[in-house]
Amino acid sequence: MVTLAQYITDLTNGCDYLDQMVSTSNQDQTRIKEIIDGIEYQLSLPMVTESDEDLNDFHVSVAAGKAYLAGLGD
Amino acid sequence: MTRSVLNSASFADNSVTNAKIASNAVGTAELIDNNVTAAKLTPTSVTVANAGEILGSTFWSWDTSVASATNNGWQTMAGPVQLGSNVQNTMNNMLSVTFFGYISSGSYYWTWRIYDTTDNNVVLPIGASKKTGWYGNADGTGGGFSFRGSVHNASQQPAQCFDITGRDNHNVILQMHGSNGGGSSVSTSSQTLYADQIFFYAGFMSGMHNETGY
Repeated sequence: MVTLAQYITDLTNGCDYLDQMVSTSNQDQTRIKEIIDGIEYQLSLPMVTESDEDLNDFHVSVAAGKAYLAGLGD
Repeated sequence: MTRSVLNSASFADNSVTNAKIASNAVGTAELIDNNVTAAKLTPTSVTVANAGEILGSTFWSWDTSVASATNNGWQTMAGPVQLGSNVQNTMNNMLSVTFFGYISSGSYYWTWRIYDTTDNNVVLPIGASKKTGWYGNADGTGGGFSFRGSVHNASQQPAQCFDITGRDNHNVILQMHGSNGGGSSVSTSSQTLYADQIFFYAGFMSGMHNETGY
């Protein structure tokens, strides 16, 4: 049985990994997009969206990752 | 010694007529009262246990399974499922499996396999040596399928057909493992593995299946 706590742990670890990719200027656009897609997938799950958890930090991390990814495409 | 033989000649000379059947042979009353009873049907005909082994039917299904890859080794996502007592007759020696799977975002990808916990070996797919997405040994000591689709989003894995010859009454399980980028070898990761809408089919099934297994 999947729990909200499990998803929050996943999101925390996933965003930490994404933040690290950005801070180290990772150039692998495909991989960065996969990570972002995965985080957004779990952020969209009903158990997560309907919870009382503060999801703001996760959204901030995703936004920063997208901005970095967009810059790589220039 | 004289033997009575019922053959086409017997029918040709009017020995069996509609009138005889309708009036005497098998009547509704006989069926209800004596001939066919629930007790007679249950042990030999269709029971819950063997109904799922009808060729091409859903043999077994399971929803929502999760395992942490921080525990080293292959993670059991579903099962054990016990195969029937005569897999040659009921399943044509084949078991097909499809499910949705992913690993949470992080550095690792994932891989999967069907494992026989009775024999303690990997159940090989049909045509393992030439199977797209399959890697590993042909002797059942290793190997698995590389994930397909989006690695960190729930993605349906195409139905794969496994050779279960000789595995009568064996228990099998679905396993997942963190892997390298290509999904073709195992790696220990701290991410979480997810499997959902897992379907086991009796016999050969191929292609993509929707969330109800069809």
